[in-house]
Amino acid sequence: MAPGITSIDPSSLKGLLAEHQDICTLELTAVTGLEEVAAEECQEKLGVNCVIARGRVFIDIHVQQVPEVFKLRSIDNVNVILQMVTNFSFPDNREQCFQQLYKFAEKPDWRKGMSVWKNVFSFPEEPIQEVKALNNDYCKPRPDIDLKRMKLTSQIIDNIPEGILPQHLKKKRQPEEEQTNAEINSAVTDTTVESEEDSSEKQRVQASGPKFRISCNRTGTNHNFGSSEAARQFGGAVNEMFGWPVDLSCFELEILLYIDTEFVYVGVCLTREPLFKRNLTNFGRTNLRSTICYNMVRLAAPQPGEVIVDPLCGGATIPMEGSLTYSKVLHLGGDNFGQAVKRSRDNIDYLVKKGKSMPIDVAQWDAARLPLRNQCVDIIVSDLPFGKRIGSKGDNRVLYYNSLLEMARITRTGTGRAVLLTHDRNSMMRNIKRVHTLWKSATSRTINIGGLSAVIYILHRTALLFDPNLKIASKTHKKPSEPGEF
Amino acid sequence: MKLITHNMLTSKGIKNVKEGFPLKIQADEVKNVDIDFDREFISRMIPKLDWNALTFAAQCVGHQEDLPDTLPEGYENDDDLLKKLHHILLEVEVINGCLECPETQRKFPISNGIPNMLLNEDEV
Repeated sequence: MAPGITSIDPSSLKGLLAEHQDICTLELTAVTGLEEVAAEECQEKLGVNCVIARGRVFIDIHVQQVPEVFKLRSIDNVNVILQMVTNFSFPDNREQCFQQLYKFAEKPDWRKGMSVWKNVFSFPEEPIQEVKALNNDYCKPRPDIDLKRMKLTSQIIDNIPEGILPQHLKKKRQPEEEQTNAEINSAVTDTTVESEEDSSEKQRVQASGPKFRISCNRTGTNHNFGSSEAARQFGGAVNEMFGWPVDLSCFELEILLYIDTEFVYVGVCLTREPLFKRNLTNFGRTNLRSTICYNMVRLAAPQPGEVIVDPLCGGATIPMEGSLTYSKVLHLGGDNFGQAVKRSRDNIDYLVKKGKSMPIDVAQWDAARLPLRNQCVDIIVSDLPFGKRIGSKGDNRVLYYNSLLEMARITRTGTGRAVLLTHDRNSMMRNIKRVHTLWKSATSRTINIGGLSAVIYILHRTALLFDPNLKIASKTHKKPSEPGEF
Repeated sequence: MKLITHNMLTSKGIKNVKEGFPLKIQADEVKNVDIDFDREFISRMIPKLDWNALTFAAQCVGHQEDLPDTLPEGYENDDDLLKKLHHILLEVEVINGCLECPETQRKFPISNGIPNMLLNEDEV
């Protein structure tokens, strides 16, 4: 797994140094577990230096080159980093913390970051008109508003003085003590409450420029303030310095403040919505992010003229993303659930209408009984049912076995490979063992899908010919099952 | 359904069917879509295809366009042939109609461009 964010050395990022005015540092967020794949794509397509941290890749890039970053297929969000500090020692006193966070707004290189932002969004005017010095020490804290959404499980409740805790957190404080201790074991909590600074009354007078919000992410157990309180201080200072109006819901500019223990960085968000939403217009229940699809296809390393099949394609997210990025390969998808296949057709037709050329086709079939010739496929890339929202773990045991056998039959011996994603490791591990003569397990990677830890298995087809008796043997043992629907 | 897909489909999942290939196409509605021509893709794909099934499929949908009976030598340098094959394999789509198993005459409907290859319990 990639190292945590705190291990990053800011001096290794050229774009953060004042002497490189034409180079900026971007943070590209990626699915946890697939950072290396994303970094590989950056190096290949942009030829830039990448620094990997958990869930993200930092790159140094020429300001002119920034638009090319949005063409990358493996990344979710793009932020430009303005400032990064590794030893932001937070004092024990709350007011001093606020003061530090407030004054911190003067540190970042706003002009460089904002000019990148302005170009990306084609904002009509210069966002930074005049810069006012900060007169106050800090904003008036409003714990009654800012701590309203803090959860009882938060580990910093004990650090906040009793007097200012809102009612709902106070009540349970004593009896909950034991439970909070138990929760500490479950790793360091992410209090990723996105929250806000609301405009300080007096500044409303001469507000001009982009409407902005601050989103603060805070991790760590020793802080004595909530993420929203930090956002309020930082946002108050930004508002005072540049006179930009605050708007939490209809914002044009989103500023990110990331705090992990002593590690603090400030960024500006360059993507309005995550890039993984690019392909689909008709959504199903278990659509995979396009970025994960791309990464999976990439892991299979398709060569020109090969055939990729997704036997359980659902809404065809994998074949679609594949055909948009690897156009020299035939992508074929199928599912046994009629509605899902119709949905894939809709999604494909929409993109084809927009003028995209996609070597893709879909069919309705049963993954345990594929209507394909022996050895006509080179690669299988599939997102198997997790047995959570769709199917059940009991079904999976049989379905995985039968589909692994069918996949072995249709793939070319010796060169065939499969990239399979699942959350149900038990069923998968057991069945990979059962078909070890046909599939050799090469590597696996654990990735994080919306909080579920899923695994991508990369299998290689052995040279052994498929033996139809294997299937018959399995049938006599177990009653035939319906494959899990997508 | 594209004809390149047809080249891989079989009905051998049906009980007692040996090959189930090539399936006969009965096309009621055919559409053309635009796909960018890619020489490398098509010339690498051709040796993997079953040529007889390809000419048979082209005949079924009325796009035979004087394809030779056997794959000629040096096809990778014959741009005309490659373009023709590109058109037949990728750009012709059967929207409505059905596929027919050559051994049992079981029909698989194609609707909205999607061939339905599912079998009933009693057929397997």
